[in-house]
Amino acid sequence: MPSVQGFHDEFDGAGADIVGVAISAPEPEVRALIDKQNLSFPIAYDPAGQLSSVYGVSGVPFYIFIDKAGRIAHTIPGAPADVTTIRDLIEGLQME
Amino acid sequence: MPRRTALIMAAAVVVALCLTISGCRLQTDDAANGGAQPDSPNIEATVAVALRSLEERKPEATAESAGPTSVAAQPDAPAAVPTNAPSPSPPPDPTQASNPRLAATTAAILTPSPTAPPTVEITPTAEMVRTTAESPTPTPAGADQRAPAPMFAGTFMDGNDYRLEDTVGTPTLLMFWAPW
Repeated sequence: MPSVQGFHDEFDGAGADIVGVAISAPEPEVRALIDKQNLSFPIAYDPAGQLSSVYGVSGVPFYIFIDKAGRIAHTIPGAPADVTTIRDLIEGLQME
Repeated sequence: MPRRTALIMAAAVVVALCLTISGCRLQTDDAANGGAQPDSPNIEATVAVALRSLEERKPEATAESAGPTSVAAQPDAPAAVPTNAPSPSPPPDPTQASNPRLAATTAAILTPSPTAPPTVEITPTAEMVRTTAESPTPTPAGADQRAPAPMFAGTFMDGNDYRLEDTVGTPTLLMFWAPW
């Protein structure tokens, strides 16, 4: 999560949005983590899994990259090997 | 009692007597000579003859008593390897040649079982890749093959309303996560 917060800090107002979706956890635990890690990017709460279901999410973390046209360009199930993968994909979508 | 068995038992008694006498003689000589080697050619010769007699009779007795349930196999008997073994056994180890049963057992263990399942190569499917939580490989989609992202709207945890539709025109990263 801190790395995602880093991407939000890096791309907020710079041509990319970062949105979090918290699933499968009690709301107090989610809020406690948000407060603990000072997460400032928008986070949806999806306890029933409705959103994760329509996006085909079967595990966390799960990254979905949406292009400028509102289409799913890339998905990464699980943690990527390094954060540069995420950065490269975002920057690639910015250049399209 | 069979004649051969009686002969074997008699020879064993002779050997036991000879060993007992020899032991007594050795102890006596040790005490008399201060630990020097005894000189007892007659007793040693008697023991040698008795042992030689036993050695000569042993194969006959073994062969005579060998039956279907005997564990003493003939030295030149073929190893008990299944006839449907996929490959012949390697040349026997000279150190195991004196024990055909052990050699046969070892060969059976080292030889692949003909009933063993074949090696199966697992090819990941699209579904497996999608559900693998630790896969770091992004799944790209060509610009002309991309599916529209399901739109959603609602009040987020910070209390603000959010509409994904409002982000069209800007690349967006959706990250699903859990605090555990």
